[in-house]
Amino acid sequence: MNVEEKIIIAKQLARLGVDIIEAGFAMSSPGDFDAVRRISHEVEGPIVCSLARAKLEDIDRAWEALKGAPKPRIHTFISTSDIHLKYQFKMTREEAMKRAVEMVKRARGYVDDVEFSPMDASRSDVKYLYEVLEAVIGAGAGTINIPDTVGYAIPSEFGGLIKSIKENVPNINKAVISVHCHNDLGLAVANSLAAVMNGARQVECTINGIGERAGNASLEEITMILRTRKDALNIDTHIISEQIYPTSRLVSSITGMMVQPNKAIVGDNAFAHESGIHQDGLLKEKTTYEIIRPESIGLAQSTLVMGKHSGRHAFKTRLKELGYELSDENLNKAFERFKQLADQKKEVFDEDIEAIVADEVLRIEIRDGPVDAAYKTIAKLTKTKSKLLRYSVNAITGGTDAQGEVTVRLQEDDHIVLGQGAHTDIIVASAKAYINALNKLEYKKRERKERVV
Amino acid sequence: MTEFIRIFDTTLRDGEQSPGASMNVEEKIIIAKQLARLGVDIIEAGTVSSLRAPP
Repeated sequence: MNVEEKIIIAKQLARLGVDIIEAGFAMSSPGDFDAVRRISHEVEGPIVCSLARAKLEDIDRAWEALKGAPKPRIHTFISTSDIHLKYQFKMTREEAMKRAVEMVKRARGYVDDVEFSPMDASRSDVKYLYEVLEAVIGAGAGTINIPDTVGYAIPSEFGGLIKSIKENVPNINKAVISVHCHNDLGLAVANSLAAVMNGARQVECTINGIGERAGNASLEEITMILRTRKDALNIDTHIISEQIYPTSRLVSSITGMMVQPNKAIVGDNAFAHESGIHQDGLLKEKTTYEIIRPESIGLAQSTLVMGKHSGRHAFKTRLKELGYELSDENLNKAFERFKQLADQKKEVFDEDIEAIVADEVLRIEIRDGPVDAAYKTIAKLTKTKSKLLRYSVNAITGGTDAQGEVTVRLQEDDHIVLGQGAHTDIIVASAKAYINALNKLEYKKRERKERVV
Repeated sequence: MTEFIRIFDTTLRDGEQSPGASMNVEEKIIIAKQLARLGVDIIEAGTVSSLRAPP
């Protein structure tokens, strides 16, 4: 993401109600420095944090980026596992502890809000871990964050670790316990939840669960678990859940990281019920098979159909629902493009609007033209009544001569199908995918008819 | 001694209930053969009524 894109996301995270935004790692690059500096100064609401290794130059650089911001936090870390200390840091336990304390003190010289992470905590010797935590809390760290850096922990064990930290670190009540879980075994959310049930009161997570390797704990899952099962847990977040879906869309659109269709909470299918028995139940009473109301994550079927008769206000409202709050100048540019498109196209979908913003405001290249022409021709020839819900392209291999694989999602009445096509020419791949999906749709319709007969 | 749990694979039944994931018989047989190679203990191959029954 570039700095502009990060600022758009950070503003949306503020609307979503997150408590702390980790905006970057100021020392790592000028781009990250700039992102931390601008987000911490321009985005109102959340605490804004920069990551910093336990090194003087990192802490100083983080402060340079945060200086003058209303709510700055410095997050510093060093490994505490023998395996990391020996092979990566080439330090003894004593040296690492001394460094941690010095760097927390250095950071506290700049800001009141300091977070410390013992990296690879879940594989560290617990006695040593307790000592390090006690020392850094003594040095002024207000948050101690326990990461499962390699995603190795299982819930009972990780919950037990948090409990034992609470019981064995004498000054623990002076700090908030945080956790940071990775998803290598698919347990990031489960481990975070186990930690919360054992006393953790900050959870580090990401929108759509994106992150290093298999990703991080997903913000939307953590939030909706606590919200949906308040009866069992009685712990909540400050998240404004109606902003979850717009935030998910925004992050997916800016990063290009697609959300898997069956992803909990924000996947395309998360609220789609296909089985006859489920559908029957839902029609009679929603709570028979629906544990979360789609509106509660901001997925209300908008009653505003966007087209050429839509005005600036409706356009602005829809943009807001999609997570974009544009300056007047950018809004005008996007609105003009929207009007041009609405003249050519009967209904303007959310994806179209996202593409307009990407092109006009973010200057990301978008597809246009020949694929659309091919699709219109095929639709005309087949007289299909289906609606194209999604179109995506992936390169199967590297290089400009790679085969492109196109996936389309079509809907007609209550049938939804996926079609795929691959070819070195993306237009041919697109046409193949479309025809493949149309064939599947026909097959489904015929199957339904036979069943009725 | 390590205890084993049985793997009951319902990709072809509950998995197929994802919108857009419908498979024809030939496709199901290809997948079922691969599930056998994968070493699953039980394959739920489908529902033999016209109305798809979940749990």
